Amino acid sequence: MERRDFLKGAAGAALVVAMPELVRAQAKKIPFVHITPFSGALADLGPDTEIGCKVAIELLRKERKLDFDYLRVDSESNPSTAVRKMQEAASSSGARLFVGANLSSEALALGKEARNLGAIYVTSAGADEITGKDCTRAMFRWAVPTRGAVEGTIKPLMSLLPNAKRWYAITPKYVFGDALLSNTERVLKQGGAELVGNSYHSLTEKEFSGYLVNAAAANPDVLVLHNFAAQGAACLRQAVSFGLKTKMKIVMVWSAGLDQLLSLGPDILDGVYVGAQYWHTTDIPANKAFVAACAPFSKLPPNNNTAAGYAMTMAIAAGMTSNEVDTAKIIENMQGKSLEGVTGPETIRDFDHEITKSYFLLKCKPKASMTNPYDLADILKTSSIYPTQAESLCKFS
Amino acid sequence: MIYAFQIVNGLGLGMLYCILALGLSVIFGLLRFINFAHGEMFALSAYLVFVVQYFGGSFWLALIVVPLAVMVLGWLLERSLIQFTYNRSHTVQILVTFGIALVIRESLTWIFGPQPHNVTAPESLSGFISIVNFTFPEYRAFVIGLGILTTACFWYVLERTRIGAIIRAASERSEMVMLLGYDARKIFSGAFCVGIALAGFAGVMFAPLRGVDPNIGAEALGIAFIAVTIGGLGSYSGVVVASLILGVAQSLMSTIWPEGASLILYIAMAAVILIRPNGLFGKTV
Repeated sequence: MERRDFLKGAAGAALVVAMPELVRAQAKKIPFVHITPFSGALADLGPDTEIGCKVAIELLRKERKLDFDYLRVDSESNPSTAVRKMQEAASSSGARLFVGANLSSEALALGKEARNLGAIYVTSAGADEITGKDCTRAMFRWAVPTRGAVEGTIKPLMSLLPNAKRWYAITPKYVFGDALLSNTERVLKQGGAELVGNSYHSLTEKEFSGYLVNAAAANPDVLVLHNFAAQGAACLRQAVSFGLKTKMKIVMVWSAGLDQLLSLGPDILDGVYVGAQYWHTTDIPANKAFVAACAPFSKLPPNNNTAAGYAMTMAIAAGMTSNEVDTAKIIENMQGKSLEGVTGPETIRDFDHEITKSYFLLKCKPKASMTNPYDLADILKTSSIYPTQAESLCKFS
Repeated sequence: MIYAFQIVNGLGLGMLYCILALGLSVIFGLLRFINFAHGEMFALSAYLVFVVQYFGGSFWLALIVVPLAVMVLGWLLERSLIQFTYNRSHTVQILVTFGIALVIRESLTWIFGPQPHNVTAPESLSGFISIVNFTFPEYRAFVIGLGILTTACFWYVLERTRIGAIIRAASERSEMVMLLGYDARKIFSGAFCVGIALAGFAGVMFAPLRGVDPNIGAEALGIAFIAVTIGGLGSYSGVVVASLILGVAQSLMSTIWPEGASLILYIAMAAVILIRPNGLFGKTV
């Protein structure tokens, strides 16, 4: 054997011996699953939420050496599909860290599945049950729940419009819509106003003219829209086309944020009140840094879903001290943590796993007052309203 | 009073459904061809209106140009794919047109994103008509008027003109029509293109009412199929009557039982299939 051949052979053997180590080093990346609708009725949630996740992952890699392996899973706006895909992701990649901007029904199912899998799941869905009676130790939520959203919009609006005593609601018939409706009814009653009527509609409805006729017939002072995303946009567009904006005030309690407002445009929005989980002009350092970090990923300012993707990822990271995934330890670490969030100070509560944050009441501007295409609304009121520990229905089993 | 206004609103809604279903009815009635891409042609047209407005063009320009553009696309599809399936089973037709629908839908999502976009009604039709305590959008009234005009013109051409007689004859006995010296293939091709142009016309008219999003095609296809099934496959007047019944029923249900307003469309279809399998005005095939 020539000396050169021996050296080549030795180098090759060393590479083979070292290979498992290299593979192990690569395998140390932490599987991190973003499970959100990328298709189906709420397909628009996925891409924006993904931007937020990626901004956070990049930041965590640079600043905290946490090395996430990002995996995108399409929940298809369908709870049973979402659960099946969570199981598949857990078994195929060993993932135990999940975040998702899901339908409330999806989130409730995923929260239970995360508990069964020994995983952690952070969602931005809105139903009160997520951190209420159906809470699980594995599930956290970054979103002001329906109660806080209603109290953060309807209550200040009642102060702004003291003569508005008759309110009418249009509500999608499912867990999220029901929760908004019951809270609206309660808040109005407490404030001495009356919900004079409500029209329920199905989750697939796109034609709202019949419900708007009901609203017009009730002759309310304020029309409350409880529907969300594309349905909310369609309902508001038709309400304006039926002239209801000239007869009454309109409030959309839970908007999808900037992208939804952009899709409607200032002609429709002018004068409409809108509740939002996030608004890109919030004047705090954490938000300014976040907006700047999103710029390479999108030409538009971040919206609610982008902020949710970022905040949910950062919440999980808050419980991590290394690249090791010990979910029980991470959950323990997350509880009680305080964070500088993009909507203001955040606290991860230990008794119900709410990540408390701010909610915004916006008033949409006329086109002439806008300084840029994204300057669609002014923040009228910022609130952070959550059930107290005594009021919470959450009992971790 | 509210019920009277719901009936008025429902008749308007029914007229909108009629415009939507006409194209599907023409293609199915004359060609016995099941076009699952009808909804996506509708969606494509609605998106083209958005594009025209995005580049500063007017709605009126879109109203003329878009149905013609979609008709040309329909003709290309008919020549390259559809014509080879006329004599094949309905399963083949469904598979081919469903494939076309998927390509169009995914392309729209890829180009325009999953978010909805707004399409504005013409400035001259942005007001309201007041009826007692209620208001009705001028643009909806315009769509209803144009829908009635289109339906009437279509009925006249099909039932009262020589070309209409040839088309109807070709759909009944294509061999006989060919023996009389007419090219049945060209007649079928023309009928398919007209059906697609009607889908395009409906898309343009609907865009300012609903805006555009990638799912509008599936919804439109569902409503069109319900109207055609209730009216009777191949029955032109059946589609008109069925659409009006659906519109009024849906609108009235919005007051009587709001949760069931959409459901009533499917209940009506199921009831008609059970009681009159060929539809209200359909002939036994």
